[in-house]
Amino acid sequence: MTLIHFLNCLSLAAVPYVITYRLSGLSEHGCFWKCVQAASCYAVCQLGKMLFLATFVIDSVPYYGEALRHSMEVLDLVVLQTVMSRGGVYGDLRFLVTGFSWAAAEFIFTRLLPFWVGARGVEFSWRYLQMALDSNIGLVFHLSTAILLAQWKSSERSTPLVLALILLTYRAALFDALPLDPWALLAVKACASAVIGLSALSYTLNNNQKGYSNVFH
Amino acid sequence: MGLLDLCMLAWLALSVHAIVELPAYRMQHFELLGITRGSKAYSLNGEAVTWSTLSGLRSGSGMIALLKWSEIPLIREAVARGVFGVILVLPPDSPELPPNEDHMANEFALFEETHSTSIYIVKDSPEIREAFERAHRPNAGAFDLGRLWSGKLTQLTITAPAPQVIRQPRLPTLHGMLPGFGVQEQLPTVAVVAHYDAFAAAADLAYGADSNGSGIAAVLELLRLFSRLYSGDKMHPRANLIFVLSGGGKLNYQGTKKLVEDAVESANSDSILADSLFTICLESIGSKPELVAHVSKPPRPDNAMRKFFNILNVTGDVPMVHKKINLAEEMRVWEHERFSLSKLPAFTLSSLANHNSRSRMSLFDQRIDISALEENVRRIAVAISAFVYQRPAEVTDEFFKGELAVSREHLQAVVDFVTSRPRSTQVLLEKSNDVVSSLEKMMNRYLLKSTAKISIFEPDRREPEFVLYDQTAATLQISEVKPVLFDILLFSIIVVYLAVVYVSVSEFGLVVRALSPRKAKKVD
Repeated sequence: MTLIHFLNCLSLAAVPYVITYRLSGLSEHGCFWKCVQAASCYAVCQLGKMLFLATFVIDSVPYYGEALRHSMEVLDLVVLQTVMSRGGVYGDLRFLVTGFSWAAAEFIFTRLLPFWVGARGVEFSWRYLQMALDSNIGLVFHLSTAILLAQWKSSERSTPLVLALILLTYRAALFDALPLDPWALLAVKACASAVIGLSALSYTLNNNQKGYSNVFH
Repeated sequence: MGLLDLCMLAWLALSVHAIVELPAYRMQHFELLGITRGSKAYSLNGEAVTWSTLSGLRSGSGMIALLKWSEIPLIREAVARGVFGVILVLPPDSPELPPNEDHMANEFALFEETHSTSIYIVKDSPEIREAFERAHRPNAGAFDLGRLWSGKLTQLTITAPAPQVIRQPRLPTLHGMLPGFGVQEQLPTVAVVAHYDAFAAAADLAYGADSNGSGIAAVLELLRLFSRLYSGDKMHPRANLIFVLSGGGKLNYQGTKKLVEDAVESANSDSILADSLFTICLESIGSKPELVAHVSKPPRPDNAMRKFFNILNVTGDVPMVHKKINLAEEMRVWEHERFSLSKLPAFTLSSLANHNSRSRMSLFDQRIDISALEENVRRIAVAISAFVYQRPAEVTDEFFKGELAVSREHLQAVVDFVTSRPRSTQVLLEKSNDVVSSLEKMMNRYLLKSTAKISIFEPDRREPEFVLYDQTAATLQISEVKPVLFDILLFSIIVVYLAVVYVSVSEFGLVVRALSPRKAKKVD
């Protein structure tokens, strides 16, 4: 529906990313190229996942393909962790860089084109506004994942951490299983992201022996 | 997540055009004798309004009037309110015969003036009825925030390239002869003529079953029957029969005009038409089992035409309708007037009693009564054979029984073929159109030892008799959209939301401090 609607959707989806980038300290530390590196890692990771799934998913076995598909998200964690530890960024900034770039890359690769193709179309649909909000929520989820993953090495792998990471990994499957209409699902996602995000932050702050945060001023 | 999204993306790319698309037929657009008729405009884009909504608005600028067929007389008022275009919805298909007179009267009313707005005609369908219901909004002028948020507008879009003049149209007229026994030039000749094109409010809706599908079927059936009589040695009549399928009939009988002028002026074998005793023009003989003879001048008692009428009257009453040619008028009302103007004796046989009958130029002319057509063709066949064999009609009536009987299947097949696609001249001129070539093949099958000749009419280069335009059909897209006001409202809401996000991110330190353990804070 017209260019105005496209711009509306785009600003709703993209401006929170810009705000996060400007205000979280990423821009001050000049992490732009690090972010681009991490984002390209995201792209390579998705490609690898697709190749793997295209090879191994068999439609004839029920749930097998779905299960495999959702389990492949674990690869995200592995790559995320690798990027975090080898990315050349240190301190609290590293989870910000990876989490943010992961979310931003997802937004660019999976949302931008539908907006361009669909939101400009003649027919009006709430779908694109929902997608924009969903990508905002995705930013919180990815940051939470990154912040928890950053504790993986330093802490003694406590049960809540593992549990939270598993939940985050399989969140797409969980949300898919909920029989809700799109708006209710968005509300549930928003609440879930808020809860997980805050608890992840609190866990990190409590766990961090140094007890400082150079990021959240 | 990534793969899921990619799948969704692919699905989205496919479903983006999930809007209703319907075929729409552009109103006729042509110039005849220097007068432009129909609608010149060709594209439209705007919000749909029904008449009941539009009549309550002060201005309908930028809107598209969605009108029922019965609301055609209101077009002028709708245009006066500034609508961008008009979409006319045809009434549901009904099998009545003759077609509904009111519908046809409305179709005629369309041509009362030249329109500068684009006018398209769509067929009745559940989709368009749905659009009708959505477009009907009582008190549309009032501002209502709730409806702005939840409501949708129905947007109608037709994007079409600008219509172009069809350059150098060539209208073929097919004619073939069954030569009689003896020296052709010395034998009497009778011609049977029917024009093959049709006319309607939209060029792509001109199916013309009765006018003149019935005439085509009759000419081809007579040709079939007489080709069998002419192929036998014993029965070979001493008279020539000429069969003509003429083009441009609805454009003032231009194909016939050309054929007659050539026959009168030239001295070659085509000129045999000029020596014919009389010409029978057939038009609209498929609605009822009645025949009326239309003449421009009543024949004298000793005339061959009079003799033929007498034979025709044996098998049933054939009233004669005399209509003088109006020389002040450029338009010819019947095909035989083209012959009469060149002093060739001719008349039209039709089931219609009046030349003003609207079904002759209507999109509602889509059906014929096949048994009526069969009966009419049989009577004409009997009369022609009685004339060429110079026997009483009671005798020749026996010919057309059994093996030589008028074939209903053949008539039906021809009518089905010619009504299976539109036959307005614009459409027939398209390169891929095969109607005329098919008719030629059908004629050739029954023309003994010869093939159909083609006489081509081309309009004058400097002062064309008619100018035709292409772009006869387009696609109507019906989509649900939000008004621009909604976008602005949405934009302001998004701005507020983003401001909230900005503040909460910039003040995130408060959250961190709140969540930080007390001890750690002391160290800090």
